[in-house]
Amino acid sequence: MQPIVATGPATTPRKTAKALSVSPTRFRRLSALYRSLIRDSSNSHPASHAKIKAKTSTRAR
Amino acid sequence: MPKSRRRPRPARGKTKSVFLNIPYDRRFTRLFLAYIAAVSSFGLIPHATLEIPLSKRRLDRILSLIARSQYSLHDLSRVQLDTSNPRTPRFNMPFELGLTVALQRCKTPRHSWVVLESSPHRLQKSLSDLNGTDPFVHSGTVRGVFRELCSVFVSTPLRPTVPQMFAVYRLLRSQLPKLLRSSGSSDPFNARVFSDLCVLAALAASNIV
Repeated sequence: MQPIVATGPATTPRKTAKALSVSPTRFRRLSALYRSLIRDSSNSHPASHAKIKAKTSTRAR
Repeated sequence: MPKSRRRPRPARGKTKSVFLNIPYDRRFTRLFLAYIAAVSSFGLIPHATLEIPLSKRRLDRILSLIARSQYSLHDLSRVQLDTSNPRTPRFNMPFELGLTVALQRCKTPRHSWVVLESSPHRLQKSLSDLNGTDPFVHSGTVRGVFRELCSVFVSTPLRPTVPQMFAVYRLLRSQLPKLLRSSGSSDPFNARVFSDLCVLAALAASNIV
C-alpha cells in the first residue's frame, strides 16, 4: 500500500479544539491541566517532561 | 548580489484531518490512545464516529465525516466474533472501509486511505476483495502502531520520532482516569473523552515534537 504524502500546516491545540467542537472554557481547562502536568513533572521527577522534550528534540535533529 | 535571508513561511492551506475507523472495545484502549497520540504528533487532527451526536442520522454523519477528512486509517484487527450473545461478527469497521472506498472512487478522489491489521495474512482471509492491497501490520502493540504510522505518513507537517510519540501516549494514558472521572464515564469511547484526549495530545505534541 502506498504511503500518504500529507502536506500542509501542522495543527495547533486551538485548531484541534475547534475542529472537535471543544468549548473555549473546556479548552482553557485542558490547557491548565496540561501546564500543571508539566510543572509537576519538572518539579518532582528527574526524567521530567522538559527533559524528555529536550532529549527527543535533540534526537530529532 | 547577496541573497536576502527570508524566514521560512509556514505552510499554507487547511490543517488535515484523519478519520479513525477503529473498534470501540475496552481491550483496544491502549491502541486507541496510541492512534490519537500518533496522529496528533504528525500535526494532524483525529476524527472518529464517536463525535457523532445521537440526534443526527448516523450513516449521514459517518459519510460527511469521511468526506471531510483527507485521510483515513482503517484498523481491521478486531474484525471477529463478538463475545456477547448473540455472537455476531463486527461489521462496522469493514462497512466504513467500504463507504470510504466508494466515496474515494466516486466523490473525493483526493482522499487517501490505508488498512491496518494485527497479523500479516488475516486480511486476505477476512476481506479478499482487498487482495493486492497490503495492510500495515502493527502486531497489536502500541510500538507497532507508531512504527506503521511512521511508514504511512510521509512529508507530514511534523516528523515525530517513536520516542516522542511515546511521550505523548504516556501523557494521555496517565490522564485518562482523570478525564473519565470528569466526564462520568467508565470507558474512553465517548465524544467528550475523545475530544479531551485529542486536545491534550495536540497540546503535548506542540511541545514535544
